[in-house]
Amino acid sequence: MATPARSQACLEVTDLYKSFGGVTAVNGCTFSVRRGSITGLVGPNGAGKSTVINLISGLIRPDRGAVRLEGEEIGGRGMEWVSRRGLVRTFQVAREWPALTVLENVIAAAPAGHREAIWRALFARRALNAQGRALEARALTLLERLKLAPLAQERAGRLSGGQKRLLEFARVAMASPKIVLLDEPLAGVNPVLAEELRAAITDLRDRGATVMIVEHNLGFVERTCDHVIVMATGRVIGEGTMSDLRRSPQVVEAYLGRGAAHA
Amino acid sequence: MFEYLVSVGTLAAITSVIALGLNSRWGLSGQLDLGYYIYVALGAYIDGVLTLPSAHTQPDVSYILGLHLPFLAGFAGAGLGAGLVSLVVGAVALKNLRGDYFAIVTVAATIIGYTVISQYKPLFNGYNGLYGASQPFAASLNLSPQGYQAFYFGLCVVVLVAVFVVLELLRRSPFGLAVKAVRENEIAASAFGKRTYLLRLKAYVIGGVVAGLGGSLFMHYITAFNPASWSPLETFLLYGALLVGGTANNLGAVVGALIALIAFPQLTQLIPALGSNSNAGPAIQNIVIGLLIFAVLLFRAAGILPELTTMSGQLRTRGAWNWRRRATGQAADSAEPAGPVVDPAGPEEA
Repeated sequence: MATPARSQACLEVTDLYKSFGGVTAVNGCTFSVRRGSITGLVGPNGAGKSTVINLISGLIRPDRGAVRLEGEEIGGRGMEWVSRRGLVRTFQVAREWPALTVLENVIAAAPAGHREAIWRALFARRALNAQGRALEARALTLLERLKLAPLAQERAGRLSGGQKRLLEFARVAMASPKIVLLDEPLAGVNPVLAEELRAAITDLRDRGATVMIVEHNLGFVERTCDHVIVMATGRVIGEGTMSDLRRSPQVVEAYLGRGAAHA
Repeated sequence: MFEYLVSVGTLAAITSVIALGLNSRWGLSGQLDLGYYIYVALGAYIDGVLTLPSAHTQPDVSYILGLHLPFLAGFAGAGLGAGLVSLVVGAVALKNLRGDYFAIVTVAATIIGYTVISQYKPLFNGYNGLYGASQPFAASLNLSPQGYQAFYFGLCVVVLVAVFVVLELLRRSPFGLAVKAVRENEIAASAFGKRTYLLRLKAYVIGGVVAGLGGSLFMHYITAFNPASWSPLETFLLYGALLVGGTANNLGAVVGALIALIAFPQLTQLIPALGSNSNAGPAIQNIVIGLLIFAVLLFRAAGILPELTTMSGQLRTRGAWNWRRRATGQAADSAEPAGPVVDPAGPEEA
């Protein structure tokens, strides 16, 4: 019965629960993310959006419930494992590698494969150098698109907050993910950079990735996302396009506010 | 004079090897290991019990093995043994411990190791330690005492160069970049699929192997080793050397070891004895090294040779010299464009 939906779903979250002490942060959350979509995840503060992202990406373990990536169960498997399956995420606070250069940050984000084996560093240097040049060329192309190329040799710790956001996005693109979870990508980003980021997100989708964005800037969400999921008190209270959501009394009550219904 | 210089040179080469091992743990991987010197000691002891004749030949001496093997077996055994112990200790300590918690555990491990080795005589002859270590290759070379001294200096330099080259290849490789990424932000590294625990463990074991090799060279240099040779101060002096020379820079580790652990102690020996206090000399040495660390941290916090960036292809040279701009505090906008520039003013935030 669910076959058509399942074949289209890149990510499925089913009946997810997580509590911290006495606080139930995620309370029976269920949704799916269509392959090739840009899906927004919105909701008031404390709705459990970031916790859901943390549960999906493996940073924390769910108390119960299932997370499936392309049909494979990934819940509770740990971030390293999940990332190698093609699910890459960013964080609310940019987590660059400060002492590495901008270019090194991007190169290091490429899927490791067997490149990082010690014996290769000593005995397969020619192959590594060839791979390294190819990765470097790709990284520079990504940095150019995000207008970070002039800073390629700068240590990442010296970038501004907005530039770190762009760098984080370049790393994500370098990882060639199946699906990307962006946790508040616009925090600290000015409107000009935001448009660049939007173009980059769309571009990533056009290259075959699925994107999920947690974001409070609803204008950005409306312009960028083709599907929006609204969470409140740890569960999904509505989904659809933004105009669908404005007509949902429950969503207006919990999150959008009465003014938005007429916007 | 020749003998003095060769002797100091040999010590310098061995100390540099030992500093390089710590640089792989602390510099490359960021592990604040306060028990590092125990792996040097293990290397010396393991080499000793492999190359010394059986303990039964001497009265009132006891240690394990006593296999009387040639130097190369002792040298390899020292590296392997110290590496194996690193693997076991690291596998436990690095699993869940980070930063200061990890550091405290390494201190505890050192105290336990120190107590066991100095008190449990059947292992490495307790507090008296091992002595009478062989002179590597001396029998087949048949050199004069000075000739042999020069030969051993050469041997230590060869080991130093080999260790340096291997560590430098690792630092520049994708492995080195991944280890540094884990050091810089472990959660971000896991988010990009790095096997953080294994990477940290590998860097820890590499450091242990190098420490063991250094310990083996040290054993045959002074021909004796006992717990007095590895007080906790040794580890701190090595950290001082890395701070002075430049953390995470292999050449910096060697330069730091040469300045802080060789040149300064040797030069301060020239200070005339203060009255009748025979302890003044060593005390002044430590004070001077402490002042040197203060000076470096105040005026050049990244050390004399700060960490290099690793790049392949056309960017390597520029990357290598990037620290100059950083060190001299010039503005970041002097970054050369790498490849075709879209808009040089673009990335600045409005």
